[in-house]
Amino acid sequence: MSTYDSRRGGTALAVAATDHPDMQPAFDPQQFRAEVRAFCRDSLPPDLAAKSRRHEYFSKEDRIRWQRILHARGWYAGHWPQAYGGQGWGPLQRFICVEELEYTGTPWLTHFGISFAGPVIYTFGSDSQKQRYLPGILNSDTWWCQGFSEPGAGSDLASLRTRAVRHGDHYRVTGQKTWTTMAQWSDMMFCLVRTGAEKRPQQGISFLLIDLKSPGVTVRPIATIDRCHHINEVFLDDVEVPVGNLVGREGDGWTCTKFIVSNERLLVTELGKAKRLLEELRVLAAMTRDGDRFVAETFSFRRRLAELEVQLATLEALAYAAVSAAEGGVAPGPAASVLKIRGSEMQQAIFDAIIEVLGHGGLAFQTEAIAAECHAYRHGPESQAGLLFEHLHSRATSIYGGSNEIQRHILAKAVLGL
Amino acid sequence: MKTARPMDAASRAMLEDSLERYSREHYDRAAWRAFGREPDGYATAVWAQLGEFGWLGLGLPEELGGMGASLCDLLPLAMAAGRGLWRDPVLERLGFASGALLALPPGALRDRLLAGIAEGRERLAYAHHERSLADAAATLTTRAEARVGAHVITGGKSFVLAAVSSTGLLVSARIAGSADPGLFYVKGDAPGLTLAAYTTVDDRVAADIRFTQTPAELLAAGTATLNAAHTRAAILAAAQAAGVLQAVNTATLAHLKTRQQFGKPLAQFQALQHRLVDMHILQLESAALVQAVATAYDAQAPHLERQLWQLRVQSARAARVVTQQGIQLHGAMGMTDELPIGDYYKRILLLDSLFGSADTALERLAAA
Repeated sequence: MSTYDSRRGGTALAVAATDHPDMQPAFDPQQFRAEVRAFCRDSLPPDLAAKSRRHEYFSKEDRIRWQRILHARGWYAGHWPQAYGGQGWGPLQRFICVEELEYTGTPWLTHFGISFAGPVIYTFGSDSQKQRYLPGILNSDTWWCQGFSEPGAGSDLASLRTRAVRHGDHYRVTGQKTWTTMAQWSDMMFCLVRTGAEKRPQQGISFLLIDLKSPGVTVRPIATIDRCHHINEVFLDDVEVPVGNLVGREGDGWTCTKFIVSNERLLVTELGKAKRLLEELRVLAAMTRDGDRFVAETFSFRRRLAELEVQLATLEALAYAAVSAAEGGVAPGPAASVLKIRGSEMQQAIFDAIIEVLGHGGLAFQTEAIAAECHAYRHGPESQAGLLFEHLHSRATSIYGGSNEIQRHILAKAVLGL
Repeated sequence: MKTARPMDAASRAMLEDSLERYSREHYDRAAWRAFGREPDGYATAVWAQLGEFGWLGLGLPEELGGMGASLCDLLPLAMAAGRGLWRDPVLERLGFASGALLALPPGALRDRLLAGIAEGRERLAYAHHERSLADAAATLTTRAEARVGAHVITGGKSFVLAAVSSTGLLVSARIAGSADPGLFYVKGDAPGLTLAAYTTVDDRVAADIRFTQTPAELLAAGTATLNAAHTRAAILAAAQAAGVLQAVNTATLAHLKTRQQFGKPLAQFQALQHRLVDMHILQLESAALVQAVATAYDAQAPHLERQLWQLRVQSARAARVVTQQGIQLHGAMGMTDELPIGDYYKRILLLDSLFGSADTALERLAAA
């Protein structure tokens, strides 16, 4: 019986991505992939590896530990220009690295610093800002979060109302940000604020770096259906922010936002995570009973798995087509909204199958085991709490980062010209 | 057994009104959270109240204190429990336990238990599955051995809802020296009984139970009783799901009418309107199909098993789409604990796990 080998697919496509004779990469995709995979297996500390197997939610300290290990290897900011401490990787190398980091189950790289704030600062920021903030991002001394959404500005982000009023050498900022991931761990928040009242709302938005220890900042947790605390409201009550924390000029906020979104496009596919989860699903099905058989032996499961394989192979092809184009100098652009849509749907489909398998044994949800090892009585496999958390959390993948409805709107307008 | 007498239209309308008023006045979100802090994830005081209203005895024989109504007449109660996201073990006691007991001929123990359910005094839990929720009678390992005048049970049961607060258990077990499984009654305070309780995905409480030479009374031998329990519960569960979908659709429609982005209510976007319509149709279909199957049940129609598989497929698919879209259409707010929208989804996840996936049911239909 042949089984889908996720490694073969990715490698072949990665090699194909660089087949163009004028575009020989400075690295060997196959070899690099193998290197990253081996490094992750060898260098992920055993306690973190154990957490990963249990699908336990990593702590801030866990993530920082891993980020520093990766940075010591030169791979944490591999995609940054060499001038700023990176290795100047192209999109393909970056994609392969992230894919393998996800596939091997290492702590999810929180992109707010390393993929968003950092690149915005070295692209649009002043020398002073680069000196002040880039080192802390690279060595994980500074934890960043993203202050974009507001209660009244979700999909319609441009309608945001947090106001920054200039008073000589500083701004006074008042407003409320919401759905702020990991704000409770954060030192800094990059924040979209309204500095002008131009006719087009996008034109009056500025990009401000806010120290969350400033007086007037309140971070309040939001309880979510996945029963693990990771998002927050951030209240800004007349917060004093130095003018030196404005990135670019007043009104450049929307340009910075579009820059971040375009950086996020390929990452949001989470291809490596999907591959890992599909293998996890197989393992679970092989050990879970369905009456007198194992779930993996049932025709309905095998057929379901086949559907998911097709979906994954298609997502992989789609992703590598986009990576290949990006490697050739064509920016992902609005067409990459497809990756966001299909990446989120893939994850949700796999988690739908996972929860059905877990359901055979009974859906206990022992939330105390999501973020900590639990030695009390446990019902079900040791990964159950973590997997249930992840299933519930996966419902957000089609909502955050621009909902799938918005992504379809973008495709309709920008690609189909409707 | 006397055939159930269907309720007349006026009584039915009155019942539906009372159920609606009860949920509105006594089951708001704050109450729902408070009930969840009880040891068994629901308030036994609420259960007693449901008994006082006569709702628990609706489908139970009149001579035992019930109203002798049909299963069709029980559907509004099951739907109300879904709409209101009731934590109370309506399914466990009026579905599984009652289904098993009603299949038995009149007898002292059986009658006492049914009368107790009707009153709200007897809080039974139904303990059947062991290693998997799809355990058939043939794969049971819990065994019952005869002692003088009674039996003792040894083994383990898994994921038993409403066990922590139970006054007694209905337990399936192999009868030693026989090919048949049997259904036994175990008193809540019986010796050799240990429970390990935990929270379920829908924020209720289930328990794994260990029996060590636990005294038990045989109710019936054979698989018919176990099948009857499962059948009655499957229909009430589908009705509960149809109720959940009603609540999701009502909430989602209201949200889209109020939530404004891009200068207008989200309800004005045609793509979203069409999705709401699709969700509405799925709910109508769920309600219609469960009504049809309940009618077949009351008429003791043949081929009911096939209809149950059909019901499972339709209910599972419709409920998955509607509850997931309910969250999606609420945007990020759908991910917060502040709203019940996520809890409707979790209830459906739980119901699906008890009765199996659409895929499994389809496989059964295709194989038969």
